[in-house]
Amino acid sequence: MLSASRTLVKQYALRIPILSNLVGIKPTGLVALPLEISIEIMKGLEWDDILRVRQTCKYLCEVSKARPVWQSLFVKYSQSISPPQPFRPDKPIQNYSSRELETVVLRWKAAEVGWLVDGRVPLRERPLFMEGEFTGECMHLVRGGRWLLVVAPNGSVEYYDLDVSQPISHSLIPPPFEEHVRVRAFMSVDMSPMLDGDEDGQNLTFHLGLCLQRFRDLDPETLERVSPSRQNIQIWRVAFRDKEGSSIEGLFANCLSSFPEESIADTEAFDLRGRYVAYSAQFYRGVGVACSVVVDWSSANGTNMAYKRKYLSGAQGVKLSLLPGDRLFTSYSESMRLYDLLSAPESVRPPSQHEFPHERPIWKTELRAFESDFVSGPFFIHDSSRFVMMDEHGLRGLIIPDADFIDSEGGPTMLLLLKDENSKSQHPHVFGYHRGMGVYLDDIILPQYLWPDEQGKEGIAHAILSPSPHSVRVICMDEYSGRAAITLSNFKDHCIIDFPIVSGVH
Amino acid sequence: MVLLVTSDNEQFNADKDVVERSVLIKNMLEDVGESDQPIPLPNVSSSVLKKVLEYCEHHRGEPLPSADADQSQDETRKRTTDISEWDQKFITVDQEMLFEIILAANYLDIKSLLDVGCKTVANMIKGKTPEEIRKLFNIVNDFTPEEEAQIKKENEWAEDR
Repeated sequence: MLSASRTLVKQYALRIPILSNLVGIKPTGLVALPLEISIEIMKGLEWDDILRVRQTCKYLCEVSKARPVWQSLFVKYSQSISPPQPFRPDKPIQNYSSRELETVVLRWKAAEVGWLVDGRVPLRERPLFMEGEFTGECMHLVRGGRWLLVVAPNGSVEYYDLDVSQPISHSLIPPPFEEHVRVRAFMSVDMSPMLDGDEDGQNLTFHLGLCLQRFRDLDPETLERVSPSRQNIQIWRVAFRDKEGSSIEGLFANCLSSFPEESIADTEAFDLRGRYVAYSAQFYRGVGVACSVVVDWSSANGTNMAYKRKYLSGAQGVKLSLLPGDRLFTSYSESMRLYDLLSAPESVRPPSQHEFPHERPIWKTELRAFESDFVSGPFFIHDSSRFVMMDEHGLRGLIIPDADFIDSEGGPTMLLLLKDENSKSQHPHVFGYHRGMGVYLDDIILPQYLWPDEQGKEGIAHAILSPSPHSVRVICMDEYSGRAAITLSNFKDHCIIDFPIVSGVH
Repeated sequence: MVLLVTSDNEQFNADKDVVERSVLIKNMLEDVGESDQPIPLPNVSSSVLKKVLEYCEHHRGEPLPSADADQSQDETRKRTTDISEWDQKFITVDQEMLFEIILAANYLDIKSLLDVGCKTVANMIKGKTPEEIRKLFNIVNDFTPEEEAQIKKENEWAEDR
């Protein structure tokens, strides 16, 4: 009738008479109800009420840990975390223990509380041990905050499970070249295979793209190319491995595509979405022209270099984003542009400067005092692609509609999400769809903001004292779990910060 | 008409389509077929059955939740925490009666009434401190001082707003 498990019912049914003997009176009212009814009542409560009921007596404390209570909250809250995309957990919900469900729910809520409270909630800091020097482009915190992906100096990819108290590195993808070669790497994670549900199984699945360049081919001082370079582009399918059939939970990867790229060098930005990868270079072979290249990776697998590429000559970008509708977004210096991929010429070798004129963007805009490498996103929501960035007035939101537009009619709009005159001095910073994290001197700034097509309170920004007195160089963050991985300016020390939830242990 | 006999031996006559809001009674009637035999309800007192029948009378004719739709219905039910005006008035009773109604609804298998009862209790709990909840429901604090201090510490972050 009700969904309480039979074993639980037995377990608690035994407990009630024992408890009543202890206090010497027959319990009545709320604590005398059958377990299944107590659970049903708790299912009508929010998380914070459940934590308060938990503190009243031993019996209700036990009821507050029952699986159906947290499963119902997990379902409810994961649906309300809708923007930018519906949240999907690591594994099917029935494979979660009640403790795991509780921990996940409380972590979402700890982040929610933490972002709202001015300086009173301390951040927890844990050191993260990595060997060698790492650069910030090469860390990614997978949505949900549990999995941190890191590219090692030799180009191999490792992952950390941040739900354990002392995370250690696990191997995910082997090094691309010989073991000792130093590699300059770009990594891009495409969550759409999981969200579109076109992959087998219900476990967490995503695509991971790597653009790997041998350091040996570069001058160590200037990073200019000094000999013909070797670049390798790889696409991997990464999935969550459940305990069943294996001794540990973790991630594993299968290679979907791997191909060389020697037509351009010195990649500055890289992106993966769907069947495309995009990468940009300030110059390509022998010609002083910037360009971006887009490749259908599913047709480029192997050692053959004569695969088809779309060369967008003149399209410069320190950040590239492939968008729905065959578009490429670039940001460089103080300018952002949008290109139509369908109209870009296709070729198996790079064009000379005279062959192809500069590709014309279908839209562009300028923004003052804005650091193009800190543009967030994109977030795909409400039939549009959205970005968050910072200028001298505060946080800006950019909405690019998926539908076709002519000139400014129905085209992209830029708006002010959060007024913040100090915004310029925050460095570095990262932005999620609703929450960001920035560093100013010894403080960590936590802005929170809303989009105009949403209901709710106005955005705020406040400071929380940084847990580290050292200067922070790189941040990657998951806004939903409130977790962030931080690299300090010596590029040797790293730490994980989050909002502690005591009852969830981790 | 169906004859019901309560734990305190009172007899109630009610229309079949009223008492059949109780899945328990509905199944019983189906099992015994047409019969004038009174149905004993040893777990329900007359004062409570009177209330329950009042509820069933008001909601007669409404569709019953089907058994196999249980799962999906469970979720939609969760999202509507509001109680209709009539139900709210109906359930405005003292605490003892409230829990008796909940127990009877559970025993008689009247899902919608059980729901109204559970939601009412949940609404009474909402926004209250542990001490206020204890006081409201006469709950004996059986934690040791150490245990209480520990559990308070574990959960205080949730109050930090």
